[in-house]
Amino acid sequence: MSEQLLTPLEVQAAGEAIGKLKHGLNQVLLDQTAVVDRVATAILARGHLLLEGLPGLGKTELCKGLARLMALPFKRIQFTPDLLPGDITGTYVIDPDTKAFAFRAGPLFASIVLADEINRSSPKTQSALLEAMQERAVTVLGTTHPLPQPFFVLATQNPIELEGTYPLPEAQLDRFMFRVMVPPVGAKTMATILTSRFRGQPPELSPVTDGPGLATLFGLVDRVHLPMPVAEFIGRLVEATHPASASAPDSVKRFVRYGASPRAALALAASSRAWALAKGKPNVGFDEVKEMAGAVLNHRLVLSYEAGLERVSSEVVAEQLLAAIPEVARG
Amino acid sequence: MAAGEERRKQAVQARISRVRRHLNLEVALRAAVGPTWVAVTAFVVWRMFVQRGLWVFGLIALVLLVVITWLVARTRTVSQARAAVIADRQASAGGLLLTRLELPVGEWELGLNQQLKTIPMPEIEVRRPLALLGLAVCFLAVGLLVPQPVLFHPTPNAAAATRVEELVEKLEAISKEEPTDQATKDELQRLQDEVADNSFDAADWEAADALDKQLDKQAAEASRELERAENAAKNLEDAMASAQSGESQQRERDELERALMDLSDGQAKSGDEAMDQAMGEQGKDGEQGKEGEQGKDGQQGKDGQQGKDGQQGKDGEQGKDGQQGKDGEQGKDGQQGKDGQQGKDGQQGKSGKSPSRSQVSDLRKTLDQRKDELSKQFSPGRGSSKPKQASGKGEGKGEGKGEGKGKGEGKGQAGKGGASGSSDEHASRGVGEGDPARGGGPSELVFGGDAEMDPERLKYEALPEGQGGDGEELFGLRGTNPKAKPSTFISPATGNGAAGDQAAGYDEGSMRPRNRALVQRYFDSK
Repeated sequence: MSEQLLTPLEVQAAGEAIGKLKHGLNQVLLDQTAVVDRVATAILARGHLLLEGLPGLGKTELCKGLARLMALPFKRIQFTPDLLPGDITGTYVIDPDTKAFAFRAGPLFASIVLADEINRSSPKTQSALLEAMQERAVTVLGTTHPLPQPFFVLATQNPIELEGTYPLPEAQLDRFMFRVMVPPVGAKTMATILTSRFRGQPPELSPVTDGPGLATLFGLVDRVHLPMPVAEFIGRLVEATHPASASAPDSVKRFVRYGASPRAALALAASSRAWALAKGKPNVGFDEVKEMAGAVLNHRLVLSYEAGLERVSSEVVAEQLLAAIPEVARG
Repeated sequence: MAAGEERRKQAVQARISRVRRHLNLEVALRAAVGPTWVAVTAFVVWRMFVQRGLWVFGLIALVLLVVITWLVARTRTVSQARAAVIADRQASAGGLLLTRLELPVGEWELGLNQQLKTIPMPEIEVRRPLALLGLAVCFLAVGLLVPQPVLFHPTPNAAAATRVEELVEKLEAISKEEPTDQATKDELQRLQDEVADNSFDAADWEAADALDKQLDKQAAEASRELERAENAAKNLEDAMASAQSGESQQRERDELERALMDLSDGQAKSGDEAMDQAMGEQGKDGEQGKEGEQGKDGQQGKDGQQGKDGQQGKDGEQGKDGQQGKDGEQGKDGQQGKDGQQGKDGQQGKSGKSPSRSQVSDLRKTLDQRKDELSKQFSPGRGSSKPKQASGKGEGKGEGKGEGKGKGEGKGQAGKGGASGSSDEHASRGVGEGDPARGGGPSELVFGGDAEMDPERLKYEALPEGQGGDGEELFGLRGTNPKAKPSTFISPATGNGAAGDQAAGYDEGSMRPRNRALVQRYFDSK
């Protein structure tokens, strides 16, 4: 993609900026380094993020802290079953002064949108996010309104309260770069929270970057080189998620109903670049791909009924897939 | 700048190639295991059980081993791209080595080179293939050390060899007489090779039998050729002998002519003397005739002999020739027999008191007749002087019933010279060419073989016009050709009983005149 490889200085500068971001996030979410890495990587790769975990794990606070660290406009939408698309995209109202319809932007018009408990809204409302997440624009009554740049959707969902929820359709899930599982914290972490935070409030965070700084980081991520063998590996990996593929491992053929789309390959390449830059590398290696593959593929694999019976999760299938696909083809 | 960049890139490529060679070593060793075992086993087996051309076979096996190993290894060889990935992994370059192959890495080059210098070779699994190859070598060594067993040399097929040897001898014998074709020689050579290879099987036996029959046939043909040549030589010899007897007959003729001239010139002193002289001459002539007859008969006997010889041969045509020659002579023989009789009857002339005019004229006639006979006998193409090659089953039987012109009343025994010839094919029925004369008298019937069929006997002779010669008249049966009977309606009320009058037959046409009229007309015309 880029003819000029990143210099060590550039990589170092990016690493410092990313390090600051991660450090800030780690202050919000204690002892959740992996989650923080995924969140930072998704932001650097300009991808949307789906945080999934039990209530009270700090998902919402993580999103708020991210917005504060990057000093970007932040909006929060609490998804409920009676939420309508116009409630999030905006609608036309009569301006009392001009007596004409004027577009009143919804909460989507922010750089960081927190879609809290996204699975509680109806599919109609969920679908209102499709265009915003992919096109970074909203079309209301035939008029397309671009969203501010950068634009991130950080959605959360609760995996246990399934009563009265609407599972996200595959098309919606596919638009999230990562689905990050937020694990429960340990006793030690909880003790730290109890002792270091007043009434559980996170510390005040000062921005580590801003819009232009973030744009610079995005530029550096784009210049991270993706060698052809690694790109081929990504392609073979995504191809092998389809059970009909000849290269699909047995676990995929057995437990996967539908595989990942090319959008998954794009997301995997972009996240690998961001992750490589975060690791201080000017290029993507096989390791970065493998480290990002689980987060990229786990919500894109539509599992079969047999997988549900045997309680096989998509993460397990993704791990088996990574173990089965060689880094380089024979020959 | 570009040259330096290219040089640095080649240095990286060299590192990758080194890793690649290392990986290909394992591939080659693995690829060599199977062919090596096959080649070594084949070599040892060959050494034990075949033994012939051992080192040539070993060389071929080695070449095949190398070629197959190379072909198999080529399909499994590690590519440069794969070697680069593995080298990147081995150098812990994190994809930087792969990036270096695609674009300049600038300041990252130094660190990459440091990593490549200390790049460890990837681990390859060579112990197992090496162990298998070592075992193969050990097996080969043991196979070479084991003493070779004494091979069972299959005994050559003695019967086949004898048979082929016989065929060779036959072919050589035949080739002395007549040229033999190349196919026969090739077939015999092939049989010899089969015997030499000890692969003389049933098909070869059949081929040998067929060749034997072919050679026998050729030998028979050669034998017949020899027979013919021998008969021809005999005929020539007989012809020469006949020519010599012809000289004696010439003398006889001269004497007869002289006697005749004496008679005509009146040199005889008296009728008795003249008659005695003439009769004496005649008696002589008779004897001579008899001799001539004998000679002729002998000649004919010779012919018969030739017929007999022909019987030994198998050529029917030659037998026929012999028969023809005999036929041509028998009439003469008959005359000669008559002459001989007349010669005997010369005693009658001698016993007569005086020859009358009529007697003289008869004598003159006799002399003339004799003269004609002699002239005919020595004329070319007539008589038996022409040697005939009698062969086949024909019998030249020199026995004829002569009717000479002589007036003697003596019973002339038919010239029976040369009756030794016996033929199975026919009895001589030759008719004398001389004028009809009495004499001869009863003679013994001699039955010979089959008579010769007159070719004109069964010659087609068309009937006269209007006597049935026309085929259409003879076979005019068109009127009676069967035809379908026209359907007639039968009332169902008639039941089982036949109803109605008798109906005409199927023939609707009138009969044509039958052949009876033709036959009648034919005989009427006769």
